Formats: sequence, C-alpha cells, structure tokens
Amino acid sequence: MMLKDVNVLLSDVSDVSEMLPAVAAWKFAGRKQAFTILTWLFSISAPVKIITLILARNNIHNLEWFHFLAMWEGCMLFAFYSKVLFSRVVWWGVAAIILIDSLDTLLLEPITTFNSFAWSVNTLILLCLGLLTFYKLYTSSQLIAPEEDPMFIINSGWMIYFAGALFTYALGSKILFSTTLDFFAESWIIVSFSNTIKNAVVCYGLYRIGKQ
Amino acid sequence: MNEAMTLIVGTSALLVMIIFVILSAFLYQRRLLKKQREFAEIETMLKKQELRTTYAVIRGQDEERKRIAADIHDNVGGMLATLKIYSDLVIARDQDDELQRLNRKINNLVEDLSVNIRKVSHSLDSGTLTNFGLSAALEQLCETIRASGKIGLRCIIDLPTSPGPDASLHLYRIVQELFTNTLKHAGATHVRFEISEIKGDISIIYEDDGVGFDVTAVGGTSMGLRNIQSRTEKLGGEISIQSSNTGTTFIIEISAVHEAD
Repeated sequence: MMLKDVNVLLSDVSDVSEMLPAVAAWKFAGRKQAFTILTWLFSISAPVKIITLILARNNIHNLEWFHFLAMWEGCMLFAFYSKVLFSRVVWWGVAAIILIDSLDTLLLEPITTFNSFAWSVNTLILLCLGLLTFYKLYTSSQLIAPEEDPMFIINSGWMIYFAGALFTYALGSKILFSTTLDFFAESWIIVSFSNTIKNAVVCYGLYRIGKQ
Repeated sequence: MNEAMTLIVGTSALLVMIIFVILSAFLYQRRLLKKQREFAEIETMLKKQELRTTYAVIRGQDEERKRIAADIHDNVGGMLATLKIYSDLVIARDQDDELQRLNRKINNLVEDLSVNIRKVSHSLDSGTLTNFGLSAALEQLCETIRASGKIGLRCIIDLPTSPGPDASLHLYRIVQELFTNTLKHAGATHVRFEISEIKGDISIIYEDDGVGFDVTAVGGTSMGLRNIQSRTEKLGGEISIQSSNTGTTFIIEISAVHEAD
C-alpha cells in the first residue's frame, strides 16, 4: 500500500469518524452547560464532512464546504471555550472569527481554493483557549480525577487535533495542490490522523458526561 | 523540502508541547487527588478515634458507678456490720436499763443505716434505671451520647407505662448495645432511635447511616449482636436487621412485655 493510499484511507476514516462524537453528543451531552454547544457543532460538521467525502469520491469540487466548515468550527469552538472559561459566550469573539474568515474568503483565498489562513488563525486562537482551559482545570477548587473529568478529556482531544493540524493547515493550500510525489504532498495524513484521534477522545469525554 | 521540514518539525514540536501539557495536567491533578484522599483518610481516622473516646466515656461512667457501689457495699457496709456486733455485745453485757435502751436505739439505727446503704449501693449499680424507670434511663443515655457531639442523634421515647424491672434492664441493655455497636463499628454520623409502647407491646426502631455489615456473617460471631438477640428472645420478642453500605436498621418487637416480665 502506497502512502497515497494510506492518506486517502485515513482521510476517509477521519471524515466518517466525525459521526462518533456527533452521536455521543446527542446521546450523552444533552443540555448540559457548554457541552450542548458541542452537540450543535458536531450535528452540522459531521454531515458536512460526509458531504465533502461524497463530493471528493465523485470528483466534484468541495473546497467551498471547507470555507463554511472553518467558520462553523471556529465559531462554535470559540463559543464553547468562552462558555467554559468565562461562563458565558463571548459574542464579539465569535463575530471576530466570522469577520476574519469572511475577509480571508473575500480578499485572500477565494472560495475555490483551500482557506489555509482562516483554518490556521482559528486553530491558533482555539489552541490558546485550550491551554487556558487546562490552566483553569489546574486551578479549579473542584478536584476530579482527570481520567474521569469530561472537560479534561474533551479538551485533550481538541488540543491534540489543534497541535497536529496547525502547521498542516498553515501549509494546506500548498499541500493539497502539490504536484510532487514526496511526503509533503501526502502530509494531509497528519490532519486526518489527529482528527481521528480527536473524534475518539472527544467521544469518550462525552460518554463520561453520561456516566456522571 | 524546506516546507516539508517546517511542517514536520513544527507539527512535532507542537504535538510534543501539547502532550507535555496534557501529561503535566494529568499528573498534577492526580497528585492533588492523592493528597485529598490522604486528608480524607486522616479525617476518618480522627472521627473513629473521637467515637471511640465517646464510647469509652459511656463505659467509664458505668464502671465508675459500679466501683463506687462496690466500695460502699464492701467497706461502709462491712464497718456498719461490725458496729452492730459491738452494739449487740454491749446490750448483752450491760445491766444498766438506760444504757441498754440507748444501745438498742443505736442498734436499730445501725440496722436502718445498713439497709439504706445497701439500697444506695444497688441503685448506684443499676443507675437511673432502678430509680427513675426505663424512660428516664434511656433519655439519660441519649443525652450522654448527644452531649459528646460526635454523632447526630434523634431520640423518640414514648413509654406511657414503664415495663417491670427485669424487662426494663433487658431493654436498656439492648439499646445500650445498639449504640455501642454504632459508636464502635459503624462510623455513622446520624442515628435515629425510637421506642414506643402500645398496650404492653414494645417496639424499637433503630437506624444509623454507617457503613453497615453483613448480617449473615456477623450475626453468628458478634458478641454484641448475640447479646441483643438473646435478650430479645428472653422477652419473647422478634428482631429484624437490615444492613447495607448506607446504614443499618434494627426493628425489635416485643409483645405483651409486662406478661413476659
């Protein structure tokens, strides 16, 4: 099996695995505080990922879906983290993400290309919020075993995804349109891998909510 | 090639950093949890020690009363008996009528004193129970436990008529044993005790929120439980015990306790 085949396979697995946290969120998260935002996030992102997969399989252009996905994921995750950190959704932050992503699409990376800039900026912002969430968990007066704490597990899943995907997103437009045959051309595998791990870990975190 | 290197090194560095952060958070919280568990254990041990002290105070009071009773009975009683013998001798030997009359008076007084000392000694031995009845004795027992402040206690004593002395002593010892078991073994924070009498039928409901015990396993081996069972049987009563890890309930029902007494 060539690296290209592994890349395609893992990319498919990554897209389909988005259904795992979507189902877990519907089943376990319910209306519990910030987690309900995750339910909304996965309820939209999972079917969109499946749509992009079907389109790709049929050789139909699907990059415009990634423009929508970057904005949706960025906004919902910003809302989720702000709710966790400040107990309320910071709407101006959500508006800023919408503005940045829109300006990127309108001025820098047209809808027919991959929006590397938007994905990178979103990921960088969310990475910082994820680190702040860890800090909040350390200093929290509530002591819960981390392996039993849904917030710790879910945040760990997202952090692995952000760390794995940031540089790949930053170079996304070059990777996806690369004509070379080296590892760089197939390095989308890093995003697929980290996204699959994220889906599994977040799914487990959501399952822990149901256990509580 | 440069872009590939940037991608690999950047992603790897970021992944290592994130994994380090997650690991640090995990280890930090585990350490805090461990400390918290240790504190909880120390608190449990201190609480157990306090309960043991309460139990020792109750036992100590009982023992002290018994010791005073024995001292009065043996020492003062013995001396009074000797005094009476001397008085008898004086009566037998002295011919003077007036002195004999006075000596008889002394003799009678010594006899009365001996009887009274014996009464005081016996009542001290069985405490409030003999003097004031079962209700007062149980209330005093509840008050002693409540005053220790180590356990939340709700006592409901509804005994319109007091059972006979033997039945009262059995019932008192049963309740005392129930409290002793809770203080010694249960690690409970709250106890509810209720005793009521209707037409001679007495029922006791005793509940604690302790760790409970295996009724089938402990029932056969525990001296305290056997004591409760045998006293209940002597009164012709029935006992039912329900225990789980959230508490224990004893229900003792004794029919027509006056007749059994």
